[in-house]
Amino acid sequence: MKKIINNKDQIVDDMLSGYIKANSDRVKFSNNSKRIILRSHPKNIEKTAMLIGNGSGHEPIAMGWVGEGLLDANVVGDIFAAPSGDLIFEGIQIFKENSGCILLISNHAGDVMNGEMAIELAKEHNINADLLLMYDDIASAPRGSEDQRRGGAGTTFIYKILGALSEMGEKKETLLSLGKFVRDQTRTLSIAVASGVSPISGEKIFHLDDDEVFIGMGVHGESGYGRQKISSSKKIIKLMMDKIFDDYKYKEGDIVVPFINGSGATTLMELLIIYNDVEEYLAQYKIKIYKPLINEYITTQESAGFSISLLNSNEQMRDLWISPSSAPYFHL
Amino acid sequence: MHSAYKKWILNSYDKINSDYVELDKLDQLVGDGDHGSTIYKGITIAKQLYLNNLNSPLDETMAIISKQMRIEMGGASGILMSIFFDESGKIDKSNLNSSIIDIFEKSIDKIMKRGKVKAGDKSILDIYIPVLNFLKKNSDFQFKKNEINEILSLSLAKTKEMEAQVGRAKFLENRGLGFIDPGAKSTEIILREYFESLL
Repeated sequence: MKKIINNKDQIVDDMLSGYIKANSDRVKFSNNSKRIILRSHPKNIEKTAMLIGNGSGHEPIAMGWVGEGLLDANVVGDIFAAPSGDLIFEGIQIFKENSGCILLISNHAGDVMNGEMAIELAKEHNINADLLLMYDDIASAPRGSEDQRRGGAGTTFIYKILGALSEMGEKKETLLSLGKFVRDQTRTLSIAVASGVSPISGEKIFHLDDDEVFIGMGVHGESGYGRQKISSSKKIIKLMMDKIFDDYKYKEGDIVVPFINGSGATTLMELLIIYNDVEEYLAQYKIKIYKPLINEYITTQESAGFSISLLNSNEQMRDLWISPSSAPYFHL
Repeated sequence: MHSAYKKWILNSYDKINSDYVELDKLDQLVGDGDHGSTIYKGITIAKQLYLNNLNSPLDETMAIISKQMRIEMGGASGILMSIFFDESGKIDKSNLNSSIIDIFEKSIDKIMKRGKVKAGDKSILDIYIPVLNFLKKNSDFQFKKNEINEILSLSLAKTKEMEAQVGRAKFLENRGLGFIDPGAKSTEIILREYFESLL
């Protein structure tokens, strides 16, 4: 393994320590845990707080999106492992005086189990907290079984849009229903080009031949549609966009927000070529584009690959998408 | 029961200490390659806490261990594997057989609910359920340690032929077919040491 680290057991703690030091004007540790990242300037308690618990190794999310106008807290687990329900509950307790609290959970087994446990503990303690399950990856389950799908990069739309609306003081029930609506209007499909190396095992997470790509692979190497030979961006984008269009019925005049996310080792050069082809594909169906997000945000170490996420938006979503945020790693 | 439980925890630690690298390798085939390290972290904390809480009532000691294992391990394995440790604290020396059956029944029930998992899904349940079935059918099971060990080995081997319906392996191209489940393997180790120390 060729990574610049110190003690293997300290990777997450060293990383978080560096992150807090580098962004001390905007984020801080909670008083009781150096696995809970909070905004330096908390929201007014009359507003609903937004939290997420997730495993690390996927930086900059989710810690990079803690900030005004986005998330209030990130509860950080070990590498590729969800934080315990106990720790997530500790995060929720910080917001027990707030008018409400929403725990965002990306649909992966460990995240869901621990998130559900945390919400049960919150309810036992009369804290007004709810879980919002996020899923968008069309390769992981067929149409009709959307709630079985994994959470992918398209969950970003929920983070940002609800984060912005909660900052304006909207009540929890409205936030939850908008969150579900955004989720239903979002589709994501990913492609793996080369595996990253797990910092725990020191081994590649999955295997792909040099001339192979994998359509629909999840962030930890989970399977999707299958392997094929690598080809041009245009051909790959057509194949991926055809699958997204099979899954969601877009129509002329729709305004979509695209998010092209790199998996950790995909160059900005490639991401922009990919975006160019996505834009051309959408243009042929007379679908409009609004303020795309293009960069590496949800990564799996030095994995090469990317995902395309599309949000079929309405005016409210678009306004919230571009509203300001102080999160250190969210740059539209 | 403290001396039997101490033996169980210490022996489990020794066994996992020697096997966890192998478990990581197994997990590389079907997961993200860290199950061995994760369970090693869990059993290490269990050992430390057991030795620190030798004088507390057993159920309190096991509850402390279970909670800390869940926190240290995290993920699906932390929350699911810590359940048995918590339930095991409710053992009753004067009612040994029925309390062991009760521990297994409650553990299985909680694992099913929390993990949304059932028999045959290729998970730790595929070890617990065959053991419980044996215990229920054999009222003299305390004299049948060898048979319990056989059940454990056989149940583990059976996971090799199962296609994963849960967890990350569910999304593999072959759903983990042909490989034993890493969680089932570590559960088999822990339960083998449990009966070895208790019966």
